[in-house]
Amino acid sequence: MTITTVAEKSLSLRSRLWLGPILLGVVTLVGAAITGIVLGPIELTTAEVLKALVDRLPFVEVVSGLSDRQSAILFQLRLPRVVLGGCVGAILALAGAAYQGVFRNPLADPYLLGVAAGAGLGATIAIASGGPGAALPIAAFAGGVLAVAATYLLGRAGDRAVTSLVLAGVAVASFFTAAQTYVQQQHTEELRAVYSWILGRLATNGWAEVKLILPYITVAALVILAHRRLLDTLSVGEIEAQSLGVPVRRVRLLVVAAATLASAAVVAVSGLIGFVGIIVPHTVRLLTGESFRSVLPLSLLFGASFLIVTDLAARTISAPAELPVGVVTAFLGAPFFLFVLRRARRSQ
Amino acid sequence: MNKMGDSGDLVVSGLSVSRGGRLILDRIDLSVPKGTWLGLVGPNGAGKTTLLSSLNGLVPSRGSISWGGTPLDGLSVRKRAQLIASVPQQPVIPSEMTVGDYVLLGRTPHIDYLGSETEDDYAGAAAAVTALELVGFEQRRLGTLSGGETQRAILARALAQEAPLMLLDEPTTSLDIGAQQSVLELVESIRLSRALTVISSLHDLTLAAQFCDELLVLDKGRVVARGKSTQVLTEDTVRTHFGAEVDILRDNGRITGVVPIRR
Repeated sequence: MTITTVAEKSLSLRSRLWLGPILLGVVTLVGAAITGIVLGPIELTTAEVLKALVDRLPFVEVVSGLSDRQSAILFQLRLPRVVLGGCVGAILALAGAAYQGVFRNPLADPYLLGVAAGAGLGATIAIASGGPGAALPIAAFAGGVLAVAATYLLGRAGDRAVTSLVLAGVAVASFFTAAQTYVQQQHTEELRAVYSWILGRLATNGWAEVKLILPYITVAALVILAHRRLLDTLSVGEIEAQSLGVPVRRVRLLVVAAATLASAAVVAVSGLIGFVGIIVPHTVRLLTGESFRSVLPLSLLFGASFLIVTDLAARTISAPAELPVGVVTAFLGAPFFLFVLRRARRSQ
Repeated sequence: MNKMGDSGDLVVSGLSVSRGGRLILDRIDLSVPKGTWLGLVGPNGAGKTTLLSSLNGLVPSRGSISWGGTPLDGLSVRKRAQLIASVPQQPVIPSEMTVGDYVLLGRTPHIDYLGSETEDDYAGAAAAVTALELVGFEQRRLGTLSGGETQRAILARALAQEAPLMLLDEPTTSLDIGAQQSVLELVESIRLSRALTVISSLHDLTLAAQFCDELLVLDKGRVVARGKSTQVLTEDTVRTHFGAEVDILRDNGRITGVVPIRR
């Protein structure tokens, strides 16, 4: 065997190394989903749930043994909630990882960049002005874009430390949240529901939320995943990436637009859930290394599991009362944020 | 393997760059035959780095640059990167990335926008790893390498681009004397084996004289001398443009050292 083929083998090995973690991610997600469906004030057994799900498949008849009431709980409450939680978690983690790549900043996250607050303001205005339901994600997206643009411009004006982007994000988020509070005060009647929404919640009834966001998050996730190799090239900086032939502006524009669209869509239905985009991608990096080819798909998978599990915690910790899931993620996320900040400082 | 400009000379005419109203490069004319190693020397602020960046299309410039008759300014960033590989003076080193992944980044200009690496790309990267004597380092993280090893990884990335023109901005800064020598020897051997045109700025005049076919002396954005090192590097030139008093040691018509003299 010549030296070249040794080098070649060892180079092409890289692309297969993360198939194991992907499998782990899928298994974790299935486990989290089943746990999320089964546990609750009305107990369902795994066997019953699986039978009921199989029964829904075309051309298959299985007797699940669930009563009509249990069946309604499964298909109208638990399942949509788990699916929504999975979608929201997957997107927040994926968008966080994508922002981290584009801004080359380990602290970027839809919540910390102010995207969530901007989307929140957009959504609140849409609700307050009584527009059609379909306008909600669009208004949220517009608010999110405005916020991320403001954060990026303000953060770039500061020094080049990773923290200046986050500080700009905090300022922008505060501003948008203040504006949102103002709009709410003007429309207390219509917006009573918004108060709980600000803390982040996944309480659903049926499939309306999932159906609303699915087209947006599918397109956005595909765009982000398709850029995984190009996000790796950005790790050598804008100038070198350009001299390697990467159209840096186009990559940035497309990835930021996709991440913002996806975050805005999930914020529109779930409120402000913070830190998922920090906790999940950084944990994944500890497992498989920095390459976006593994970080992006794994963030998607583990993000889904993560939010399903934290939502389960949110509705069981102080049952029968329910904590907003955003409170639980913040509880876990804030210490994690400090950990990432310390690491980033050290490597600078 | 080179996609375009295979029989290419680099021709630069009237290249000027100004920044903040100040002229950094002043009407540079330059013709570099294929396969030449041209060394850029000159005092700090002479415009060496700016010249390299403008050849690379990274700073806006006036005038024209062409390769094998093809003007470069009309090219997309990707087409340009197929022609020119460049190593900046202080590259961004993603310390967590492995050497293998880093070298593979050099294949970027040969991969479609949303495509991924083919067997050709792995082979090209592997050849570059071998040429820069990095076999066995593929899974090492960049952050764990010594200065000389890092510089070899950077050159391997540039070599993997398989571009006929290689721009090196001070490839030996921050290396010890042994690493300086071996890096330049490696550049020389890949240049000869692949018939690359190399343009590099070099602070060290002795190394520049020994390794480059020709030297170009820049001062205040202008070309003040160009030719074989023995013609260009004289005590007078160094005094005039660097403000330094030196002894130039020669042996058999070759320069063996540029030695500063204490005044």
